[in-house]
Formats: sequence, C-alpha cells, structure tokens
Amino acid sequence: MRIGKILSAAAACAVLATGVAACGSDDNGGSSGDSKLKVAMVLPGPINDKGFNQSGYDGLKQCEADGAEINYQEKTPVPDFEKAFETLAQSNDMVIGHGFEFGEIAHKVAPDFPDTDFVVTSNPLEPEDSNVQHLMPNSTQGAYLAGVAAGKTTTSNKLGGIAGFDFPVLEQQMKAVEAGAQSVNPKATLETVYLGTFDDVAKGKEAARSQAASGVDVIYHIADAAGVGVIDGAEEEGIKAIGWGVDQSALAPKTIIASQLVDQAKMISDSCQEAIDGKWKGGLVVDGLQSGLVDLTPVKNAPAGTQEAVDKARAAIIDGSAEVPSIGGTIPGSGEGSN
Amino acid sequence: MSDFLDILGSTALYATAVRLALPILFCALGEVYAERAGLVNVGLEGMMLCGAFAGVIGSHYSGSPWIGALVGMIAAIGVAAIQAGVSINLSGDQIVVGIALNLAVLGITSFLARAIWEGGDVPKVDGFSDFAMPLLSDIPVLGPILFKQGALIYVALVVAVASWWILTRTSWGLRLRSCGEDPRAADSLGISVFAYRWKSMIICGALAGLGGVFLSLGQLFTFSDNMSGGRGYIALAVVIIARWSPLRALWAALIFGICEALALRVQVTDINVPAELMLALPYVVTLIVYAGVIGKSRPPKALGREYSRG
Repeated sequence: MRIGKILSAAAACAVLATGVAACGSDDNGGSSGDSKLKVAMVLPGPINDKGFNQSGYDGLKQCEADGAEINYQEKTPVPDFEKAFETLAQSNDMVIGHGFEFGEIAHKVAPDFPDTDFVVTSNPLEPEDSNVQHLMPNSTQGAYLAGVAAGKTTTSNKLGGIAGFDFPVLEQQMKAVEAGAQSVNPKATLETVYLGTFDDVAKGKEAARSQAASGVDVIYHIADAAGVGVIDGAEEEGIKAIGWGVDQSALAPKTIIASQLVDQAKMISDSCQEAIDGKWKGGLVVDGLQSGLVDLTPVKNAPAGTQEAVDKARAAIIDGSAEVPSIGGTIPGSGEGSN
Repeated sequence: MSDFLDILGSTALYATAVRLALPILFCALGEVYAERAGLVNVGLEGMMLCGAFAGVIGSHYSGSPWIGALVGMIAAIGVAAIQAGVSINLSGDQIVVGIALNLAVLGITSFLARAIWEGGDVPKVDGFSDFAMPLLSDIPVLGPILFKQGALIYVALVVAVASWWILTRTSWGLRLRSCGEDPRAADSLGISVFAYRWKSMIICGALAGLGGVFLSLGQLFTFSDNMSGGRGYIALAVVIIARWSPLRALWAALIFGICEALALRVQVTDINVPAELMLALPYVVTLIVYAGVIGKSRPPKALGREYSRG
C-alpha cells in the first residue's frame, strides 16, 4: 500500500521533472494565432549551452520575431526523438530537428504528415522526401580559418582539440583545424580529446587544464556547454582558446583569440521565412563562408600578421585555391548531438 | 610506453585527479554516514546538483562564496529531509525515493535557472579560487598536488579524518552504526533508530551539497544544467570500494579521479589505449572489490531495510 503510494509519487515527480525541464512554449495566445505559422523545434541539449543548442534556439526565436508561433522541446533523449517528432508534427506547420541525427527520424515520420514541413540541421545528405529540408553549414571552412589563427599564435606548435564525441562532423572540423594550422605553420600538430559528454562543464575544464600540462598552448573546442569549461580552464592556465558557434570572447576576453561562427540561427530563420512567404521547399541547403554563414570573428590576443593570414585564407577558400577537408561524408545512425 | 610513464610521473596528472575526485569524495563521505545508519541514499546526485545550484544563488546574491556554500548545504539538506521523511518515517522504498528526487531536482534546478536568468544564462559568481598555501605549496610533488587548490580541499581532508574519528571512536558513532547493523537490538537498548537515521541523512545531505558547491563555486564559478553529471552515482561505487570507511573513501575517490584524469591525458599522446577503457577501469575495480577479492567486503547488515517499531 505504502509502496504503491511512493511509486505513484515517484512517477509524478518524474513527470514533473521532465515536464518542467523539457517543455517550454511561447504561446502568443489570442485567436489571431490561427493564421500564424506554427513552428516547433526538438533539441538534443539545453537551450542555454552557449553553443550548438543555443544557436538553434536563437534561430527559433528569430522565427517568432518574424511572425511565427513557436514552441520547443529541449534536452530530448535520443530514444524520444521519434515520439517528439510525431507529436509535434500533429499540431505544427513546421518541425525542426536540431542535429544530423534527426535526418533518419524525419525520413520515417515525414510521409505520414505530407502537409508538415520538416527541417533537419547539420545534415549533409540529400533528403529523400519532398517535405524534408536538410540545412548544412559548411563548418570546416570556419574550422580551417580557426586553424590558421591557432597556427600563427602557437609557440609550442602543440594545438589541442576538445570535442564532445567522435562524431564524423566534429572529426572533420578537427582535421580542418589541423590543415589550416599547418598551412601557415608546418610544424603545428593537433591532438584531440573526446570528453564523452557535451554538458559536463567540470570535465571540459579539466581536459583543458591537462592539455595545458602537456604543452598545448592553443585549444579549439566543439563541446557546447562543456566548452564553457574548456575556455575557463584555458584562462586559468594562461593559454589561448578558440570559441565555437557564437562569439565566445565575452567568456574570457584575454584568452579567446577568435570564435568560429556557425550561424545555425540564420539558416533556421531563413528556412522559417521561406515558409512564411510560402516559398519553402524540401532539399539540401549547403552554405558557408561565401554568405558569411560560417566565418571566424576578428582575431585578437594573437601575434601581428594573424588577421592578415586569416583574411588570406578566407579569400583562398572562396576562390577555391585552399584545400579544406570536406564536411560531408558518412553520417552515423545515432548519437547525441552534432554540430 | 615511456610516454605513459611520463604521464604517470607528472604532478599535473595528480592535481587534475584530486580536483576530479573532490566532489565525489564529499558525496561518498556523506553516503558513508547514511549507509552506516542503514540507509541507501541514491538521492546523492540530486542533493549534489541542488547544492551546486543553491550555492551559486547564495554567492550571487550575497557576494560571498562562504555564504553560497552555506546556502548550498542547507538546500541539499532540504532534499535530504524529503528522502529521510519518506524513507524513514513513511517506510518508502529508499532507492525509488532517491531516483525520484534525482529526477525532480534535475528538472527543478534547470527550470529555476531559466526562471531567474533569461534563457538560463547563469552569470559567473564569486567562488573559491585556487590559492597557493605559503610554505606547504613549496613542498616538492605534494605541494602542487594538494596545496595549490581552493579552500574546499582542506575542508574535505578535515571532514574525512573527523568522520573516521566520529564513526569509529565515539559512542555517538557506535550508536549510529548499530542502527545500520541491527536496528531492533539498538532500539531495545534505548537508541532512537529514527533519530539516528535522520541525523545521518542530514549530514549526508550537507556533505553532498558541499560536493555540489565544490563543482559550482570551487571549479566553475557558475551553474549549468545537470552539472553534477552522474558523480553522485559514482560516489555510491566509491563507498563500496572504501568498504564503508571514511578514510578508505579518500583513496577510493582518488582512484576514480586518477582514472578519469588518465583518460583525458592519454588521448593526447601516441599511446593507443582507448579512453573508454580508462573510464571503465574504476567500475571494474568496484566489481572486484565487491566480489571480495581485495579484503573482506561486508555492508552494514540492515542496509536498505526500512525499520518500524513493533
């Protein structure tokens, strides 16, 4: 009897816990909402991770500013992706999955909801369904520029990379950083540490500190919330770091030499705007340096000539004379979050 | 191979290990009290997360990390009180209550962070910065490992030794342990099992809260969602390796710290040991210890069992 009571209390707690954490909705209310485009987003991580998930959320907020009615589900565990997609597709005009791993889910769900637009970010494959759109920022171009800045800045010629998981999209960016660094400093090498988490901030910090202990003097991270710890650790050890996703220099103004920008937000809000204008269509959208969607922020805390080298590399990428590792390739079937 | 020996011989590795071990150690020390009194407290993770969050709130509004630490401990004691009330007074299943609390705290702290700060963008607050102890930090090897960290490392060492003394050398500790071994016999001798179990849970909450405070105010000076990252569960394993002794918990927590630190370090070398293997190592050790290979492993007899009079 008592056990039963406890169990139901536990179940209620669990529902409450996931409920308040995972569901946020921004209902503008009113009957005028009927004519508004309804957009929902599913995110693998928290909307305040100062990285990948936050940029997705920023894009969604831009949709709202452009006149859409939005709601989202954050911190969604991988097994719940499909359920979240199906549920949201029933009551929304557009469902956005933030991360490559939603590609398969969209392919599964899309045929059942022909009137709903599905958008998947960070997925380099051509979608098979006409109501699915894949948005792919060409992140390796930005990573290459980050590598140029790092290669110019390092004096130990040891660069550190810290990533959440060994996802191919992340590995390719790490390769691009090394290629960029070696284009200006042939002696530079990059050693990458995978944390096995995107949100353990303390672990990110310790990873940065132990890289510093092994002689690394510039760290590049793709670790979302854990990346905040990486930057913190670099600051404490007095070495340099490169931000990812958004301009992270405010986190450690004397430590960050530049941030690799990946404007997921703009890609998402552009897609939203197309839907509002009635011009949306499925397919693969790849965009990068040319349109400024991917870039590197202006360099600081770096030796003279670094900005010039970055500008030169940017021009070389745009005219095609620089060899940047491709972002495309194989996409695994599962994983937590991608960038 | 020489690379590996270089890493094993570097003080930086052990300094990292100590920092990774400390939050686990605080939780494990708290859990030793609870389990010695007969309570399995799976809610450590939630208590820790709650302490981490409340610590940041306290420090943010008062400007003092010490007040933050106090607020963190009090908040974690609040979670512990729920665990104690349901599992001791209402005879609820200790493990189920703990898991429910962990989930609830995870949701509530994330929710409050968003409610207080727009978009959950928690600012940096004053914390316990690392400082070098005069004289002691100049000791070779030990200096950089132990005496160049923040203030909470000293708190941890004092708590570990004091806990050993309290639990094994005082009559209070003996009575507490008797509640975990044979609560009925203890009760017949006039020891209030409920009171001792309540006290053990409050101490456990306070220490787990301090573990969370170490993460938020000792390492990162801010809060982020789920920042405890499963360390509360690791502490449960540490207690088993330590065979319910506060002093052995020091070593056991350090083993976990060293394994995690190694996992971060070996990836940057040419050594081809998968990091996953290093990360799994402490759990393998836990299993070996639990199987009784290293010394006799015997949990308190009444561990996890509810007690009701009559």
